[in-house]
Amino acid sequence: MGEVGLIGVGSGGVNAVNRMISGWQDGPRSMVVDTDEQVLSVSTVERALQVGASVAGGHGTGGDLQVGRSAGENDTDQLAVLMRGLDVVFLVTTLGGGTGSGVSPILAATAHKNGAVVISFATLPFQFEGPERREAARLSLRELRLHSDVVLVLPNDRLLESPVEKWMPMEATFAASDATIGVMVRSMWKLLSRPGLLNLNIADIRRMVEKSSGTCSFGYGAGHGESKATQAVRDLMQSPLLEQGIQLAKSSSLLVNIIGGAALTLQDIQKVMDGIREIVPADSHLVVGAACDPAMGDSLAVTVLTAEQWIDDDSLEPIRRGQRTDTGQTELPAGLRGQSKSRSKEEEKRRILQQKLSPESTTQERFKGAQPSLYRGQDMDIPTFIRRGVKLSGEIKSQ
Amino acid sequence: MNIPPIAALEVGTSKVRVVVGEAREDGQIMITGFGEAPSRGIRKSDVIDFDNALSCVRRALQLADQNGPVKIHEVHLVLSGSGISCEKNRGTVPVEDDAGEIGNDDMERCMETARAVNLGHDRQVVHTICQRFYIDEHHVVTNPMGMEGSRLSADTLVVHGMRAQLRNTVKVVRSVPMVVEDVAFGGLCSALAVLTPEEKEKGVLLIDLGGGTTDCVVYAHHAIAWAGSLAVGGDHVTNDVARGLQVTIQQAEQLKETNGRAMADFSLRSKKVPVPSNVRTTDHIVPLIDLHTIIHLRMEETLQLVKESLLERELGYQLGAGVVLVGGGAKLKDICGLASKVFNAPCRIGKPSNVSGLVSLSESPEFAATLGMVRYGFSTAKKETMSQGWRQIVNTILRRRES
Repeated sequence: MGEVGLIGVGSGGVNAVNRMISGWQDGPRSMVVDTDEQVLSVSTVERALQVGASVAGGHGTGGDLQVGRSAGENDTDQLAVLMRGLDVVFLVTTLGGGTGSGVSPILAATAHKNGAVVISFATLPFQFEGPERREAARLSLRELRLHSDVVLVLPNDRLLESPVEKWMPMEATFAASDATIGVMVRSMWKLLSRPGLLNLNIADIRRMVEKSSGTCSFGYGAGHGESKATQAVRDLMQSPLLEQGIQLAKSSSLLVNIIGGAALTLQDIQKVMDGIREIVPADSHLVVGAACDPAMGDSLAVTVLTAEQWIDDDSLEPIRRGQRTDTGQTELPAGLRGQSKSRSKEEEKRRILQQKLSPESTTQERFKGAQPSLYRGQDMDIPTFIRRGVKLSGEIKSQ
Repeated sequence: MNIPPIAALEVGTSKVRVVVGEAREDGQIMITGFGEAPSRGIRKSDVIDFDNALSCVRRALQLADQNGPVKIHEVHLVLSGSGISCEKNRGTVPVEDDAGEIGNDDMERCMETARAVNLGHDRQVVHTICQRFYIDEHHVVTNPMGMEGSRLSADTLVVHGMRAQLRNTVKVVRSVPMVVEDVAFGGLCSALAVLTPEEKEKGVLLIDLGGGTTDCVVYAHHAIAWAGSLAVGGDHVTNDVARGLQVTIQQAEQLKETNGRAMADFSLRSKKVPVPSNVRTTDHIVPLIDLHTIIHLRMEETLQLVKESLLERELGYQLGAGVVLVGGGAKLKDICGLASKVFNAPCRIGKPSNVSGLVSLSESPEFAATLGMVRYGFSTAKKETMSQGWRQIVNTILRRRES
């Protein structure tokens, strides 16, 4: 898939990348970008770039989005040099601060301009971090979406919802957030770099997120031994990022990647897929990939990406489901469908929005029979405004 | 010198057009026949449904037969899209004459070497254009005949496209049945119709914004420096509008024509326009700003792609005379403003010049390619009557392999 760069932006992103690469052999090229000299000096990655020295004076931005932005804008040339030769960019950032929120969209745009495919991994601040940071994150995410091919979002709040992490000390919570991002990055890397039995590539991901303005949710499950497939599915359902499977149950489009040891059987794949199909709506678009990695031994890992419709509203979170069973667990798909009756009004609106975005069958056939127009890795037959994730006013009104 | 009327045929993605013209003494083209039919079975300038395409070509030719004084038996065919791109090449040969005088032979050998470009099996050469000659590597001349030197070099631009697609278009026309007298790249034809000698000298980019494809030609120092085609066109704009505003393709096409704009006008932010409809349904209105945004993003991206192709070949800074737009897309409001913003150069809409007869045609940028083909047909016919040697000197198409 060409040269891959893993880039941490802002202190949060830098820390996440630091953690990620420790003990990761044969990983992608790693780089970090920040305004704060101190943060960069402790990083162990291949390349560190300080931006906005003239704006921030070598210190952080103090959480000021404007300062972060001008730091990035001042040093676009250097960012372009950093991006040179990269075909795929994994951008890791924590939104809400100054540098992460300000520089990330600029970096993504620069990378895009250089012809790289940009996959952004962004965490959104916890509720308790206050409205200012959430607003900064919201603005930044909107821009980031414009310049990234795929944005994988991890709202930190979702971590708190998982029963295990509820009583974690604060530091451990942040570490958990980093670790989750790490898993996301690694499985994305595996998904793209490991030649699979059933191959998945960037185009599959792009196709999946096409309907969702480029935003994805992510789930991960693993199993070991005899019943590894069942275990992995169960584990996946507990994944906090998929809101205990509820995201799956309403996903219109999802991508499943299965990585197993040398002894991965078709039966295992079948089992995993059966488990997932039970939960997802019958009409959803489902893509499967499978790969063997001898290092996995007798384990099996399942990674799920689901396209999610993020609504750019003040609450920043995707609109919450109205009600949730007390256990927070999904038991039966039937139970979930039952829930849908009591969906909140907001959710109803969201559903309408999704319908609005789904393409008409007649228009899809416009270019049927003709060669697809591919330029710089983009399918030009897909409307520009959809590829760039530009919201139309008509859609916003219909919310 | 009496050249019979020339019939130019363009099998476009949205329209099939036929123009019959005669050359007048004063260099004007007199239009004597004209036919136009909506296309079917063509996508992105490629034939995807043979029978449908054939019936549309027949219909257009029939109309031209009825309108004009002559019956058409052979046509000059305009080719667009089909992944047209180009390769630059230089060929060098020693001058054989003992006295070092360059003769016909030397030039022919030189062109032969310069023409030899290694292309894939699926490619077909459309034009071989001689850009300039060099004597002894650095002395640039346009016509080296009779000059002295020890080595003669020629720079050529080989324009080529996808073999299958080009052949299929020709095949449709031959099945009419109709003799295909000559073929030429649409971008080149448009250039012949609308560009002035000054523009060609200073450097100019011609963009033909067609229905299925966008064809481009760059002139610098009187020679064609680049030719290419993007498989993105007006159809994409229409499709984007249809998808974004939830209307049918026909409605999108009408919205684009009546209310379309290449730049979003924010003063009209709250304005809404009704969706044209044959059936009386409940009023379907769409925000004008959305229509403009969708069109703007697509057009800007298309032009940006052209610009990037130029920058890759380091031609971006040679556009002294700016950009000239032709094709149906050139009728879009504000397109000139957008193009001059993207290319940071002046921009004008190209209208075919020195045309009489049907004046309305010369006012329409979408007829540039077809009218240019008529002109091209006359220029090659004229050259055919000249000496062989002269024919090879002129900056134009020298040989076309059987297609």
